[in-house]
Amino acid sequence: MKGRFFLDAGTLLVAGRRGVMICLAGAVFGVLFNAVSPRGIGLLGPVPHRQAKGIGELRLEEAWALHKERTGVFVDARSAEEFGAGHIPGALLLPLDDFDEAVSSWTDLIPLETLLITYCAGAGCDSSLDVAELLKEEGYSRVKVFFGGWEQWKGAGYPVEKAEQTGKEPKGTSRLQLNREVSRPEGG
Amino acid sequence: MEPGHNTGIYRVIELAARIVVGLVFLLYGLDKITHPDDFARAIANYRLLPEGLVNLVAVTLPWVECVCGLLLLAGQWVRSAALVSAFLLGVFVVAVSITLVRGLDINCGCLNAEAGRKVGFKLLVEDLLLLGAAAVLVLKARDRIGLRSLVGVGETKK
Repeated sequence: MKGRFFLDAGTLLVAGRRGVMICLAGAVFGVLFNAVSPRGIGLLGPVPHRQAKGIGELRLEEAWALHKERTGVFVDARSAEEFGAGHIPGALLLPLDDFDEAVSSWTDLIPLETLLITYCAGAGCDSSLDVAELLKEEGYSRVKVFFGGWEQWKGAGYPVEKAEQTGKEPKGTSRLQLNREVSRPEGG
Repeated sequence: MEPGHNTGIYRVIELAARIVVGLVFLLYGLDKITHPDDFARAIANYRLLPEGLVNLVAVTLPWVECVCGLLLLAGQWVRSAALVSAFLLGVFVVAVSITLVRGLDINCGCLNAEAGRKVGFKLLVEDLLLLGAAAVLVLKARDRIGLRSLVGVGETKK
């Protein structure tokens, strides 16, 4: 193999310098293209969430207004552990990972025309949208996503609730919450 | 230049490595350029970068990939483009390895057309193979071989 490879320091230096130029050129093209592209995203802003097809989005204040009016049911798409540590008061636990199992009891207890508001940890997670899409498939026609999620809700200092039973029995917990939720007077 | 460097199997290997790495980088880069939001989410899912940097990487990285891909295919600055490609592939290998060790079940964010593709062992192997091809080019490539190397390959078949 001797003589097949040649990579002296000088060659490597030239390659490295040009490599840096390639990266800089790419970065400049990228930033410029992003500035003019209709699909451009905020350079340092929050990670854009997935586009929701036919599923409305709620901002924090809208979610808070609905909560105050007791309109609709909040649906927590996080894990049972996260739910147990704190959630939006009255929210139902519906983890994305256990969706099929957990949702089986829903259609009997929650009318299909109920307004459902899904949320997850915050702007960085997509499970709220995933659960919203799955709920639509189950036949719920009024599903909205509160993308700010738990992070924004907690950050705003709105009331929170901790589950009496945490983590271990998500199904039991959700049924418990479910009954209370359904007995709520329907608003708006 | 060393004897034997320009002839035979080495040129074929070099050309094949250029085409494979170049095409993959160009096509995957173009795909991500057209879907920056999807790519940003894919990067965020790896949970390796601070959130403030995710979008910046999502916007710039595909263009760096495209520039590398174009240079490799055109046969210009091959060693430099291969060096950048090898560095990026090294980063991908580390990212995929960490993800596998963590046991995260996430999409790889490689190509929008295969959006459901998960990070897995196969992806790691692919990245390692591409890294090997890029490394060959870093070690072997002469600059400005371009179309002449195509002619060269033809000549070696005489």
